[in-house]
Amino acid sequence: MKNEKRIIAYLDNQMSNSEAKAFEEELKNSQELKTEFEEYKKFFFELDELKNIPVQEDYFPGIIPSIRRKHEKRKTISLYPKFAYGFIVIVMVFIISYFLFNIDSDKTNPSIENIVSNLNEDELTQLLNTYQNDYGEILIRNGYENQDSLLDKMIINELNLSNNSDRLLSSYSEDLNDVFDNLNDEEADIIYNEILNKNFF
Amino acid sequence: MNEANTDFDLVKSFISGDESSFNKIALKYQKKIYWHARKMTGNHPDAEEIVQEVLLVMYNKLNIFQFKSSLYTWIYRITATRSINFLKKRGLKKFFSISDNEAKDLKSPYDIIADVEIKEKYLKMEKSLQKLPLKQREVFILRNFDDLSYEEIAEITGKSIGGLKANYFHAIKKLIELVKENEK
Repeated sequence: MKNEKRIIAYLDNQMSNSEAKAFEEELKNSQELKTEFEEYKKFFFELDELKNIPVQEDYFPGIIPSIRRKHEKRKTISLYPKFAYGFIVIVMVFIISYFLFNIDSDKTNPSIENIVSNLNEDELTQLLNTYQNDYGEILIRNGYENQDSLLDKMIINELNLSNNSDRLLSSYSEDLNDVFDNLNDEEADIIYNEILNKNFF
Repeated sequence: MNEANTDFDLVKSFISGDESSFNKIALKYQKKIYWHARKMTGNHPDAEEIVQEVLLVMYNKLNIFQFKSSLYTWIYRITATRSINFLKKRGLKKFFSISDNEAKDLKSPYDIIADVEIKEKYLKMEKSLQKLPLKQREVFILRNFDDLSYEEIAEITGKSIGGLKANYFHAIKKLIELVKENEK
């Protein structure tokens, strides 16, 4: 063990009785160890002198009253920040809960309009086939007030016609309706008989 | 009645509403808190701030103190932790703004040490202490000035006794070197 370690252990009372006795014996015989030991002893002696330092008499008795004064001050000052923090927390909770409930309602009860508007024609047809009972409601909500227009679309899809044909078909059916409306009974009979006698195939 | 019983009675009395009991506890320990903080921080204003902080913590937390350790160990733990935290914060402040610390050093000539000769010696030692790493400084102060056993220091700092002894040894070695340098 190095001298400095043993010196510190001795001065710090970290040696057993036998170790301490052996060290003291060595100290008597070794001048080098003695010199080094004196150095450390002086250092500790000077530190001991600084353990109980006289201070201004009124300092320590005045600490508690000054802390109590500060504590009271803090209590009154911190009253307003407490309200402010409370208000901020309430506002934050309100905003967060507003968004949470909105998101929840969107998730739990999605509107038919939202679903239908995002579908293409094929998906819509599939949906109509699947949910036939809700067919009428979907038609109305999605703006298909006239079932004929949807029927036209389905015919076009079925015949693989272009989009322009959609307009042609609807204008044609509109003209035809006008013609039917203006027919009297006699004219209607003549046309009916003509059609009956016509050989289509 | 021994010291532990007195502390126990004072705490119980404070918890049951006797404010004067807290004053007695504070009067008993405030010097120890101050000098520990003073040697850790190296100046009076910082030590004073730590004393106030520690006493406020004691005031607010004594009602949950359960005597699992002695009261003075508990107080030392608060003081040591607060001192270290304070020094870390001060280090950060110093890192980001050197001018603030320089200004503080210049504007704090006030000191509570009455005797001029002792003050000179003390300030010399205090300056040397500031050159020690935080952990070594803490262990050295607790062991040498607060006269605590290694077991008590281990309880306060949460470090192993072997580690504490090593820290104490290195602290003394470094301080002796500093003394030699100053004498040259």
